[in-house]
Amino acid sequence: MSKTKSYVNSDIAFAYLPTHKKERKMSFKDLLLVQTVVGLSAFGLLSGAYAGSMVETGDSLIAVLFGNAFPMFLIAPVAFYFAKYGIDTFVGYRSALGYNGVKAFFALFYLLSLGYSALALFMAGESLSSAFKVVNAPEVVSGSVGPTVCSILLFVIAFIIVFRGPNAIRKFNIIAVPSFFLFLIALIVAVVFSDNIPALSKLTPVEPFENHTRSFMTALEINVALGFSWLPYLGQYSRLAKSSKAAYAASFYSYGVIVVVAAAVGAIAALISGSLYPGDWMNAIMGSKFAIIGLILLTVANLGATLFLMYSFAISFKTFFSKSSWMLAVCTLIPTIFLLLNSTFYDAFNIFMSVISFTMASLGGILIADYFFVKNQNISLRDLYNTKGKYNYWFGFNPSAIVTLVVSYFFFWSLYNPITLEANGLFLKITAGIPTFFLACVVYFVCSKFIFRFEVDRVSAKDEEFKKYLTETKTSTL
Amino acid sequence: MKAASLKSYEKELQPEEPFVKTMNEDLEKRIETFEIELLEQNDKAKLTDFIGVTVVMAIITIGVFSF
Repeated sequence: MSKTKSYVNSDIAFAYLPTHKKERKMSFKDLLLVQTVVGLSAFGLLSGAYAGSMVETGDSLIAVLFGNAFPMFLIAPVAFYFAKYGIDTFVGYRSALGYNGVKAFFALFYLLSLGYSALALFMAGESLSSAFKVVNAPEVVSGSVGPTVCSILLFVIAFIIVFRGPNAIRKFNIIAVPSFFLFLIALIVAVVFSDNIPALSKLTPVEPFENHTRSFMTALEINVALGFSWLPYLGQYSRLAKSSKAAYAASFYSYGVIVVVAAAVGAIAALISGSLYPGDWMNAIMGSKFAIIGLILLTVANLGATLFLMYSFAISFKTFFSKSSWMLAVCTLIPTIFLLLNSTFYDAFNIFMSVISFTMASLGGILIADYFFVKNQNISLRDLYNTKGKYNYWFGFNPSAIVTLVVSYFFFWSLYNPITLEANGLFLKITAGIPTFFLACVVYFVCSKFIFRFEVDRVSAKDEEFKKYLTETKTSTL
Repeated sequence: MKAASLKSYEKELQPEEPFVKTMNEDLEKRIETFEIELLEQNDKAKLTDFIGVTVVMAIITIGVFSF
Protein backbone atom coordinates (compact mmCIF):
# COMPACT_ATOMS: atom_id res chain seq x y z
CA MET A 1 0.00 0.00 0.00
CA SER A 2 1.34 3.46 -0.90
CA LYS A 3 2.16 5.88 1.90
CA THR A 4 -0.53 8.33 0.67
CA LYS A 5 -3.21 5.61 0.70
CA SER A 6 -2.17 4.55 4.16
CA TYR A 7 -2.29 8.10 5.55
CA VAL A 8 -5.62 8.78 3.81
CA ASN A 9 -7.13 5.51 5.09
CA SER A 10 -6.04 6.40 8.57
CA ASP A 11 -7.76 9.81 8.26
CA ILE A 12 -10.93 8.18 6.88
CA ALA A 13 -11.11 5.71 9.78
CA PHE A 14 -10.44 8.53 12.21
CA ALA A 15 -13.22 10.66 10.68
CA TYR A 16 -15.75 7.82 10.52
CA LEU A 17 -15.29 5.98 13.82
CA PRO A 18 -16.48 7.45 17.12
CA THR A 19 -13.45 8.67 19.05
CA HIS A 20 -12.68 6.83 22.23
CA LYS A 21 -12.15 8.82 25.42
CA LYS A 22 -8.42 8.05 25.26
CA GLU A 23 -8.25 9.73 21.84
CA ARG A 24 -9.90 12.94 23.00
CA LYS A 25 -6.84 14.95 23.89
CA MET A 26 -7.67 18.51 22.86
CA SER A 27 -7.95 21.06 25.63
CA PHE A 28 -9.86 24.34 25.41
CA LYS A 29 -6.68 26.16 24.28
CA ASP A 30 -5.86 23.54 21.60
CA LEU A 31 -9.39 23.73 20.21
CA LEU A 32 -9.41 27.50 20.28
CA LEU A 33 -6.16 27.69 18.34
CA VAL A 34 -6.95 25.09 15.69
CA GLN A 35 -10.48 26.38 15.06
CA THR A 36 -9.24 29.98 14.87
CA VAL A 37 -6.74 28.93 12.21
CA VAL A 38 -9.55 27.22 10.27
CA GLY A 39 -11.92 30.14 10.74
CA LEU A 40 -9.61 33.03 9.80
CA SER A 41 -10.17 32.92 6.09
CA ALA A 42 -11.06 34.56 2.83
CA PHE A 43 -14.79 34.36 3.64
CA GLY A 44 -14.27 36.35 6.82
CA LEU A 45 -12.44 39.05 4.88
CA LEU A 46 -15.08 39.08 2.18
CA SER A 47 -18.16 39.14 4.42
CA GLY A 48 -16.53 41.99 6.33
CA ALA A 49 -15.71 43.74 3.05
CA TYR A 50 -19.38 43.59 2.03
CA ALA A 51 -20.31 45.25 5.32
CA GLY A 52 -17.69 47.93 4.63
CA SER A 53 -19.11 48.53 1.17
CA MET A 54 -22.60 49.18 2.59
CA VAL A 55 -22.23 50.99 5.93
CA GLU A 56 -19.78 53.29 7.74
CA THR A 57 -16.96 52.08 10.00
CA GLY A 58 -18.90 51.91 13.31
CA ASP A 59 -21.88 50.11 11.83
CA SER A 60 -19.62 47.77 9.85
CA LEU A 61 -17.90 46.69 13.05
CA ILE A 62 -21.28 46.16 14.76
CA ALA A 63 -22.49 44.08 11.81
CA VAL A 64 -19.39 41.87 11.76
CA LEU A 65 -19.14 41.42 15.52
CA PHE A 66 -22.79 40.75 16.33
CA GLY A 67 -23.42 39.08 12.95
CA ASN A 68 -20.75 36.45 13.55
CA ALA A 69 -21.06 36.02 17.31
CA PHE A 70 -24.82 35.62 17.68
CA PRO A 71 -25.39 32.78 15.15
CA MET A 72 -22.41 30.96 16.65
CA PHE A 73 -23.92 31.49 20.12
CA LEU A 74 -27.08 29.79 18.81
CA ILE A 75 -25.47 26.80 17.09
CA ALA A 76 -22.39 26.24 19.30
CA PRO A 77 -24.38 24.00 21.75
CA VAL A 78 -24.29 21.24 19.07
CA ALA A 79 -20.63 20.89 20.10
CA PHE A 80 -21.92 19.19 23.30
CA TYR A 81 -23.42 16.44 21.14
CA PHE A 82 -20.34 15.80 19.00
CA ALA A 83 -18.05 15.93 22.03
CA LYS A 84 -20.16 13.56 24.15
CA TYR A 85 -20.45 10.90 21.43
CA GLY A 86 -17.09 11.52 19.70
CA ILE A 87 -18.72 11.61 16.28
CA ASP A 88 -18.33 13.75 13.18
CA THR A 89 -21.05 16.05 11.81
CA PHE A 90 -22.42 13.73 9.14
CA VAL A 91 -22.76 10.77 11.50
CA GLY A 92 -24.29 12.94 14.21
CA TYR A 93 -26.91 14.49 11.95
CA ARG A 94 -28.39 11.04 11.22
CA SER A 95 -30.37 11.23 14.47
CA ALA A 96 -32.18 14.38 13.33
CA LEU A 97 -32.38 14.05 9.54
CA GLY A 98 -32.47 10.27 9.04
CA TYR A 99 -29.88 8.21 7.14
CA ASN A 100 -30.91 9.49 3.70
CA GLY A 101 -31.56 12.99 5.01
CA VAL A 102 -27.87 13.18 5.90
CA LYS A 103 -27.01 12.32 2.30
CA ALA A 104 -28.98 15.39 1.23
CA PHE A 105 -27.09 17.43 3.84
CA PHE A 106 -23.87 16.04 2.43
CA ALA A 107 -24.89 17.22 -1.06
CA LEU A 108 -25.32 20.69 0.43
CA PHE A 109 -21.89 20.41 2.05
CA TYR A 110 -20.55 19.59 -1.42
CA LEU A 111 -21.96 22.83 -2.82
CA LEU A 112 -20.62 24.72 0.19
CA SER A 113 -17.15 23.21 -0.35
CA LEU A 114 -17.21 24.08 -4.06
CA GLY A 115 -18.36 27.63 -3.33
CA TYR A 116 -15.91 28.28 -0.50
CA SER A 117 -12.99 26.76 -2.43
CA ALA A 118 -13.85 28.93 -5.44
CA LEU A 119 -14.04 32.08 -3.31
CA ALA A 120 -10.71 31.41 -1.60
CA LEU A 121 -9.06 30.51 -4.89
CA PHE A 122 -10.42 33.51 -6.76
CA MET A 123 -9.27 35.84 -3.98
CA ALA A 124 -5.86 34.13 -4.10
CA GLY A 125 -5.81 34.37 -7.91
CA GLU A 126 -6.75 38.03 -7.82
CA SER A 127 -4.03 38.71 -5.23
CA LEU A 128 -1.42 36.86 -7.26
CA SER A 129 -2.44 38.63 -10.46
CA SER A 130 -2.20 42.02 -8.70
CA ALA A 131 1.27 41.04 -7.45
CA PHE A 132 2.27 40.14 -11.02
CA LYS A 133 1.00 43.52 -12.17
CA VAL A 134 3.38 45.27 -9.73
CA VAL A 135 6.39 43.49 -11.30
CA ASN A 136 5.11 44.06 -14.87
CA ALA A 137 4.63 40.36 -15.58
CA PRO A 138 3.14 39.19 -18.93
CA GLU A 139 -0.43 40.23 -19.75
CA VAL A 140 -1.78 36.69 -19.44
CA VAL A 141 -1.22 36.67 -15.66
CA SER A 142 -1.41 40.39 -14.89
CA GLY A 143 -4.10 41.58 -17.31
CA SER A 144 -7.88 41.31 -17.24
CA VAL A 145 -7.83 37.49 -17.42
CA GLY A 146 -5.01 37.33 -14.84
CA PRO A 147 -7.21 36.50 -11.81
CA THR A 148 -8.86 33.62 -13.69
CA VAL A 149 -5.58 32.22 -15.04
CA CYS A 150 -3.89 32.51 -11.64
CA SER A 151 -6.83 31.02 -9.70
CA ILE A 152 -7.04 28.03 -12.06
CA LEU A 153 -3.28 27.56 -11.73
CA LEU A 154 -3.65 27.64 -7.94
CA PHE A 155 -6.49 25.13 -8.16
CA VAL A 156 -4.17 22.73 -10.02
CA ILE A 157 -1.54 23.16 -7.28
CA ALA A 158 -4.19 22.59 -4.56
CA PHE A 159 -5.47 19.52 -6.40
CA ILE A 160 -1.98 17.97 -6.54
CA ILE A 161 -1.27 18.70 -2.87
CA VAL A 162 -4.63 17.30 -1.71
CA PHE A 163 -4.17 14.24 -3.86
CA ARG A 164 -0.78 13.62 -2.23
CA GLY A 165 -2.52 13.40 1.14
CA PRO A 166 -2.29 14.88 4.64
CA ASN A 167 1.51 15.02 4.89
CA ALA A 168 1.80 17.34 1.91
CA ILE A 169 -1.00 19.51 3.34
CA ARG A 170 0.66 19.73 6.75
CA LYS A 171 3.95 20.80 5.15
CA PHE A 172 2.20 23.53 3.13
CA ASN A 173 0.25 24.76 6.14
CA ILE A 174 3.49 25.43 8.02
CA ILE A 175 3.80 28.38 5.62
CA ALA A 176 0.10 29.12 4.98
CA VAL A 177 -1.10 29.58 8.56
CA PRO A 178 1.55 32.13 9.64
CA SER A 179 1.03 33.89 6.28
CA PHE A 180 -2.56 34.75 7.12
CA PHE A 181 -1.66 35.99 10.58
CA LEU A 182 1.17 38.13 9.14
CA PHE A 183 -1.19 39.49 6.49
CA LEU A 184 -3.79 40.49 9.10
CA ILE A 185 -1.21 42.03 11.44
CA ALA A 186 0.44 43.97 8.59
CA LEU A 187 -2.91 45.30 7.42
CA ILE A 188 -3.95 46.35 10.94
CA VAL A 189 -0.58 48.04 11.57
CA ALA A 190 -0.80 49.85 8.22
CA VAL A 191 -4.33 51.09 8.98
CA VAL A 192 -3.45 52.27 12.48
CA PHE A 193 -0.13 53.99 11.69
CA SER A 194 -0.56 55.27 8.16
CA ASP A 195 -0.86 59.04 7.76
CA ASN A 196 -2.28 58.73 4.26
CA ILE A 197 -5.48 57.05 5.37
CA PRO A 198 -8.30 59.40 6.39
CA ALA A 199 -9.82 59.05 9.87
CA LEU A 200 -11.84 55.83 10.02
CA SER A 201 -14.93 57.71 11.21
CA LYS A 202 -14.89 59.83 8.02
CA LEU A 203 -14.86 56.91 5.59
CA THR A 204 -18.03 56.39 3.55
CA PRO A 205 -19.25 53.16 1.96
CA VAL A 206 -19.23 52.86 -1.84
CA GLU A 207 -22.35 50.76 -2.41
CA PRO A 208 -24.98 51.65 0.19
CA PHE A 209 -28.69 50.88 -0.30
CA GLU A 210 -31.36 53.58 -0.56
CA ASN A 211 -31.53 53.95 3.23
CA HIS A 212 -29.25 53.27 6.17
CA THR A 213 -31.44 50.64 7.87
CA ARG A 214 -31.59 48.57 4.69
CA SER A 215 -27.82 48.79 4.24
CA PHE A 216 -27.14 47.84 7.86
CA MET A 217 -29.56 44.87 7.92
CA THR A 218 -28.16 43.52 4.63
CA ALA A 219 -24.59 43.83 5.93
CA LEU A 220 -25.69 42.09 9.15
CA GLU A 221 -27.41 39.30 7.20
CA ILE A 222 -24.24 38.49 5.21
CA ASN A 223 -22.26 38.20 8.44
CA VAL A 224 -25.00 36.15 10.10
CA ALA A 225 -24.67 33.78 7.15
CA LEU A 226 -20.95 33.42 7.80
CA GLY A 227 -21.67 32.62 11.45
CA PHE A 228 -24.18 29.89 10.57
CA SER A 229 -21.97 28.51 7.79
CA TRP A 230 -19.56 26.96 10.33
CA LEU A 231 -22.23 24.41 11.28
CA PRO A 232 -20.85 21.47 9.22
CA TYR A 233 -17.37 22.11 10.65
CA LEU A 234 -18.38 22.07 14.34
CA GLY A 235 -18.15 18.29 14.68
CA GLN A 236 -14.64 18.00 13.25
CA TYR A 237 -12.73 19.11 16.31
CA SER A 238 -15.41 18.99 19.04
CA ARG A 239 -15.24 15.19 18.87
CA LEU A 240 -11.61 15.39 19.95
CA ALA A 241 -12.26 17.56 23.00
CA LYS A 242 -11.29 16.42 26.49
CA SER A 243 -14.54 17.89 27.80
CA SER A 244 -17.86 18.85 26.21
CA LYS A 245 -17.80 22.24 27.89
CA ALA A 246 -14.37 23.01 26.38
CA ALA A 247 -15.67 22.03 22.91
CA TYR A 248 -18.67 24.33 23.30
CA ALA A 249 -16.77 27.36 24.62
CA ALA A 250 -13.90 26.97 22.11
CA SER A 251 -16.36 26.76 19.19
CA PHE A 252 -18.04 29.99 20.25
CA TYR A 253 -14.87 31.97 20.95
CA SER A 254 -13.00 30.80 17.83
CA TYR A 255 -15.66 30.87 15.09
CA GLY A 256 -17.86 33.47 16.75
CA VAL A 257 -15.47 36.01 18.29
CA ILE A 258 -11.81 35.72 17.21
CA VAL A 259 -12.64 35.14 13.56
CA VAL A 260 -14.30 38.56 13.61
CA VAL A 261 -10.80 40.06 13.35
CA ALA A 262 -10.63 38.97 9.68
CA ALA A 263 -14.11 40.36 8.99
CA ALA A 264 -13.26 43.67 10.70
CA VAL A 265 -10.05 43.96 8.66
CA GLY A 266 -12.05 43.22 5.49
CA ALA A 267 -14.63 45.88 6.40
CA ILE A 268 -12.02 48.58 6.99
CA ALA A 269 -10.06 47.60 3.87
CA ALA A 270 -13.22 47.90 1.76
CA LEU A 271 -14.07 51.26 3.31
CA ILE A 272 -10.58 52.64 2.63
CA SER A 273 -10.22 51.27 -0.90
CA GLY A 274 -13.87 51.31 -1.96
CA SER A 275 -13.40 47.84 -3.43
CA LEU A 276 -14.04 44.16 -2.68
CA TYR A 277 -10.74 43.12 -4.28
CA PRO A 278 -7.59 42.54 -2.21
CA GLY A 279 -5.36 44.04 -4.91
CA ASP A 280 -7.11 47.38 -4.42
CA TRP A 281 -6.97 47.03 -0.62
CA MET A 282 -3.22 46.56 -0.63
CA ASN A 283 -2.52 49.45 -2.95
CA ALA A 284 -4.77 51.78 -0.99
CA ILE A 285 -3.51 50.78 2.45
CA MET A 286 0.13 49.72 2.01
CA GLY A 287 1.10 51.57 -1.15
CA SER A 288 2.38 49.81 -4.25
CA LYS A 289 5.87 49.18 -2.72
CA PHE A 290 4.69 46.98 0.13
CA ALA A 291 1.49 45.76 -1.52
CA ILE A 292 3.31 42.90 -3.22
CA ILE A 293 4.31 41.36 0.14
CA GLY A 294 0.72 41.48 1.43
CA LEU A 295 -0.61 40.05 -1.82
CA ILE A 296 1.78 37.11 -1.76
CA LEU A 297 0.95 36.41 1.89
CA LEU A 298 -2.76 36.49 1.07
CA THR A 299 -2.26 34.17 -1.91
CA VAL A 300 -0.43 31.59 0.21
CA ALA A 301 -2.98 31.90 3.04
CA ASN A 302 -5.95 31.40 0.73
CA LEU A 303 -4.29 28.44 -0.93
CA GLY A 304 -3.90 26.94 2.56
CA ALA A 305 -7.61 27.53 3.28
CA THR A 306 -8.49 25.83 -0.04
CA LEU A 307 -6.41 22.79 0.90
CA PHE A 308 -8.30 22.47 4.20
CA LEU A 309 -11.69 22.76 2.44
CA MET A 310 -10.84 20.34 -0.36
CA TYR A 311 -9.25 17.75 1.91
CA SER A 312 -12.11 17.89 4.45
CA PHE A 313 -14.61 17.31 1.69
CA ALA A 314 -12.62 14.50 0.03
CA ILE A 315 -12.30 12.67 3.38
CA SER A 316 -16.05 13.03 4.03
CA PHE A 317 -16.74 11.78 0.50
CA LYS A 318 -14.65 8.66 1.15
CA THR A 319 -16.48 7.94 4.41
CA PHE A 320 -19.77 8.12 2.49
CA PHE A 321 -18.60 6.22 -0.60
CA SER A 322 -15.88 3.92 0.66
CA LYS A 323 -15.89 1.97 -2.62
CA SER A 324 -14.65 5.01 -4.55
CA SER A 325 -10.97 5.70 -5.11
CA TRP A 326 -9.08 8.57 -3.50
CA MET A 327 -8.57 10.03 -6.98
CA LEU A 328 -12.35 10.11 -7.58
CA ALA A 329 -12.93 11.72 -4.17
CA VAL A 330 -10.51 14.54 -5.03
CA CYS A 331 -11.80 14.80 -8.63
CA THR A 332 -15.32 15.61 -7.35
CA LEU A 333 -13.95 19.09 -6.64
CA ILE A 334 -12.97 19.78 -10.26
CA PRO A 335 -16.26 21.69 -10.94
CA THR A 336 -14.72 24.44 -8.79
CA ILE A 337 -12.94 25.51 -12.00
CA PHE A 338 -16.27 26.56 -13.57
CA LEU A 339 -16.72 29.08 -10.76
CA LEU A 340 -13.28 30.52 -11.47
CA LEU A 341 -13.80 31.32 -15.15
CA ASN A 342 -14.74 34.91 -14.37
CA SER A 343 -15.54 37.10 -11.36
CA THR A 344 -19.33 36.45 -11.49
CA PHE A 345 -19.35 34.01 -8.59
CA TYR A 346 -16.92 36.10 -6.50
CA ASP A 347 -19.12 39.16 -7.07
CA ALA A 348 -22.22 37.15 -6.09
CA PHE A 349 -20.73 36.24 -2.70
CA ASN A 350 -23.62 37.96 -0.86
CA ILE A 351 -26.21 35.81 -2.71
CA PHE A 352 -24.26 32.62 -2.03
CA MET A 353 -23.97 33.50 1.66
CA SER A 354 -27.69 34.27 1.98
CA VAL A 355 -28.62 30.87 0.57
CA ILE A 356 -26.17 29.30 3.02
CA SER A 357 -27.71 31.36 5.81
CA PHE A 358 -31.19 29.98 5.19
CA THR A 359 -30.12 26.33 5.01
CA MET A 360 -27.61 26.34 7.84
CA ALA A 361 -29.89 28.34 10.15
CA SER A 362 -32.69 25.80 9.54
CA LEU A 363 -30.41 22.78 9.98
CA GLY A 364 -28.86 24.29 13.11
CA GLY A 365 -32.32 24.87 14.58
CA ILE A 366 -33.34 21.30 13.75
CA LEU A 367 -30.30 19.71 15.43
CA ILE A 368 -30.55 21.88 18.55
CA ALA A 369 -34.26 21.10 18.93
CA ASP A 370 -33.74 17.39 18.25
CA TYR A 371 -30.78 16.82 20.56
CA PHE A 372 -31.72 19.02 23.51
CA PHE A 373 -35.52 19.23 23.49
CA VAL A 374 -36.81 16.12 21.70
CA LYS A 375 -34.23 13.44 22.52
CA ASN A 376 -33.15 14.90 25.86
CA GLN A 377 -29.45 14.40 24.91
CA ASN A 378 -30.00 10.61 24.63
CA ILE A 379 -28.70 9.20 21.33
CA SER A 380 -28.08 5.56 20.46
CA LEU A 381 -24.58 5.31 18.99
CA ARG A 382 -25.42 1.85 17.60
CA ASP A 383 -28.39 3.25 15.68
CA LEU A 384 -26.33 6.12 14.33
CA TYR A 385 -24.02 3.65 12.60
CA ASN A 386 -26.51 0.92 11.74
CA THR A 387 -28.27 2.34 8.70
CA LYS A 388 -31.18 -0.05 9.22
CA GLY A 389 -31.60 1.30 12.73
CA LYS A 390 -34.10 3.52 14.52
CA TYR A 391 -33.08 6.72 12.79
CA ASN A 392 -34.48 5.47 9.49
CA TYR A 393 -37.82 7.28 10.15
CA TRP A 394 -39.69 7.37 6.80
CA PHE A 395 -37.60 5.85 4.02
CA GLY A 396 -34.47 7.26 5.60
CA PHE A 397 -35.88 10.79 5.96
CA ASN A 398 -37.20 12.39 9.12
CA PRO A 399 -40.54 13.99 8.14
CA SER A 400 -40.27 16.52 10.99
CA ALA A 401 -37.03 17.80 9.46
CA ILE A 402 -38.54 17.96 5.97
CA VAL A 403 -41.59 19.93 7.16
CA THR A 404 -39.28 22.26 9.11
CA LEU A 405 -37.08 22.90 6.08
CA VAL A 406 -40.10 23.66 3.87
CA VAL A 407 -41.63 26.06 6.44
CA SER A 408 -38.23 27.72 6.99
CA TYR A 409 -37.78 28.09 3.23
CA PHE A 410 -41.06 29.96 2.79
CA PHE A 411 -40.45 32.05 5.88
CA PHE A 412 -36.91 33.10 4.90
CA TRP A 413 -37.72 33.84 1.26
CA SER A 414 -40.82 35.81 2.19
CA LEU A 415 -38.65 38.03 4.41
CA TYR A 416 -35.69 38.36 2.09
CA ASN A 417 -35.03 37.31 -1.48
CA PRO A 418 -31.23 37.07 -1.72
CA ILE A 419 -31.26 36.88 -5.52
CA THR A 420 -33.37 39.95 -6.29
CA LEU A 421 -32.34 41.55 -2.95
CA GLU A 422 -36.01 42.39 -2.28
CA ALA A 423 -36.67 42.74 1.45
CA ASN A 424 -39.89 42.62 3.43
CA GLY A 425 -40.54 45.35 6.03
CA LEU A 426 -40.01 42.77 8.77
CA PHE A 427 -36.51 42.02 7.44
CA LEU A 428 -35.54 45.59 8.32
CA LYS A 429 -36.43 44.88 11.95
CA ILE A 430 -35.31 41.26 12.54
CA THR A 431 -33.21 40.21 9.49
CA ALA A 432 -33.91 36.72 8.08
CA GLY A 433 -31.33 34.12 9.17
CA ILE A 434 -31.67 34.50 12.95
CA PRO A 435 -35.51 34.31 13.07
CA THR A 436 -35.33 31.35 10.67
CA PHE A 437 -33.20 29.52 13.25
CA PHE A 438 -35.79 30.07 15.99
CA LEU A 439 -38.67 29.13 13.70
CA ALA A 440 -36.88 25.91 12.72
CA CYS A 441 -36.42 25.02 16.41
CA VAL A 442 -40.12 25.52 17.18
CA VAL A 443 -41.50 23.82 14.06
CA TYR A 444 -39.24 20.80 14.48
CA PHE A 445 -40.13 20.45 18.15
CA VAL A 446 -43.88 20.63 17.46
CA CYS A 447 -43.68 18.16 14.55
CA SER A 448 -41.59 15.64 16.50
CA LYS A 449 -43.52 15.84 19.75
CA PHE A 450 -47.10 16.20 18.57
CA ILE A 451 -47.45 15.22 14.90
CA PHE A 452 -45.10 12.40 13.84
CA ARG A 453 -44.11 11.07 17.32
CA PHE A 454 -41.61 8.33 16.43
CA GLU A 455 -40.87 5.65 18.99
CA VAL A 456 -37.17 6.55 19.10
CA ASP A 457 -38.08 10.11 20.14
CA ARG A 458 -40.44 8.86 22.85
CA VAL A 459 -37.86 6.40 24.24
CA SER A 460 -35.05 8.97 24.18
CA ALA A 461 -37.07 11.60 26.02
CA LYS A 462 -36.92 9.72 29.34
CA ASP A 463 -33.58 8.60 30.80
CA GLU A 464 -34.91 5.39 32.34
CA GLU A 465 -36.63 4.25 29.15
CA PHE A 466 -33.54 5.10 27.11
CA LYS A 467 -31.35 3.07 29.49
CA LYS A 468 -33.73 0.14 29.13
CA TYR A 469 -33.64 0.49 25.34
CA LEU A 470 -29.83 0.55 25.31
CA THR A 471 -29.65 -2.54 27.52
CA GLU A 472 -32.14 -4.40 25.29
CA THR A 473 -30.34 -3.57 22.02
CA LYS A 474 -26.99 -4.35 23.62
CA THR A 475 -28.19 -7.76 24.88
CA SER A 476 -29.85 -8.68 21.61
CA THR A 477 -26.65 -8.05 19.67
CA LEU A 478 -24.46 -10.17 21.96
CA MET B 1 -29.85 -8.99 15.61
CA LYS B 2 -26.07 -8.83 15.67
CA ALA B 3 -25.94 -10.57 12.32
CA ALA B 4 -28.49 -8.15 10.93
CA SER B 5 -26.67 -5.07 12.13
CA LEU B 6 -23.28 -6.38 11.04
CA LYS B 7 -24.76 -7.17 7.67
CA SER B 8 -25.89 -3.59 7.41
CA TYR B 9 -22.45 -2.21 8.29
CA GLU B 10 -20.82 -4.66 5.92
CA LYS B 11 -23.08 -3.74 3.05
CA GLU B 12 -22.38 -0.09 3.56
CA LEU B 13 -18.66 -0.31 4.11
CA GLN B 14 -17.60 -2.91 1.52
CA PRO B 15 -16.00 -5.56 3.75
CA GLU B 16 -13.94 -7.05 0.92
CA GLU B 17 -11.40 -4.32 1.54
CA PRO B 18 -9.23 -5.33 4.53
CA PHE B 19 -9.04 -1.73 5.69
CA VAL B 20 -12.85 -1.43 5.82
CA LYS B 21 -13.23 -4.82 7.49
CA THR B 22 -10.82 -3.80 10.24
CA MET B 23 -12.70 -0.54 10.60
CA ASN B 24 -16.00 -2.43 11.05
CA GLU B 25 -14.59 -4.58 13.79
CA ASP B 26 -13.13 -1.54 15.47
CA LEU B 27 -16.51 0.20 15.20
CA GLU B 28 -18.32 -2.66 16.96
CA LYS B 29 -15.80 -2.61 19.82
CA ARG B 30 -16.04 1.15 20.18
CA ILE B 31 -19.86 1.07 20.27
CA GLU B 32 -19.85 -1.63 22.95
CA THR B 33 -17.34 0.25 25.11
CA PHE B 34 -19.29 3.47 24.70
CA GLU B 35 -22.60 1.82 25.64
CA ILE B 36 -21.11 0.34 28.79
CA GLU B 37 -19.78 3.76 29.80
CA LEU B 38 -23.08 5.44 28.96
CA LEU B 39 -25.07 2.99 31.08
CA GLU B 40 -22.74 3.66 34.01
CA GLN B 41 -22.70 7.43 33.64
CA ASN B 42 -24.79 9.49 31.22
CA ASP B 43 -23.13 12.92 31.30
CA LYS B 44 -25.33 15.70 30.00
CA ALA B 45 -24.87 19.38 29.37
CA LYS B 46 -26.23 21.40 32.28
CA LEU B 47 -27.56 24.93 32.32
CA THR B 48 -24.49 26.06 34.27
CA ASP B 49 -22.28 24.98 31.34
CA PHE B 50 -23.81 27.74 29.24
CA ILE B 51 -23.29 30.59 31.69
CA GLY B 52 -19.80 31.76 30.61
CA VAL B 53 -20.57 31.98 26.91
CA THR B 54 -24.00 33.53 27.57
CA VAL B 55 -22.46 36.28 29.70
CA VAL B 56 -19.89 37.06 26.97
CA MET B 57 -22.62 37.14 24.33
CA ALA B 58 -24.68 39.47 26.51
CA ILE B 59 -21.67 41.79 26.93
CA ILE B 60 -21.08 41.80 23.16
CA THR B 61 -24.75 42.58 22.48
CA ILE B 62 -24.93 45.38 25.00
CA GLY B 63 -21.54 46.70 23.86
CA VAL B 64 -22.28 46.83 20.14
CA PHE B 65 -25.78 48.25 20.41
CA SER B 66 -24.85 50.98 22.86
CA PHE B 67 -21.91 51.96 20.59
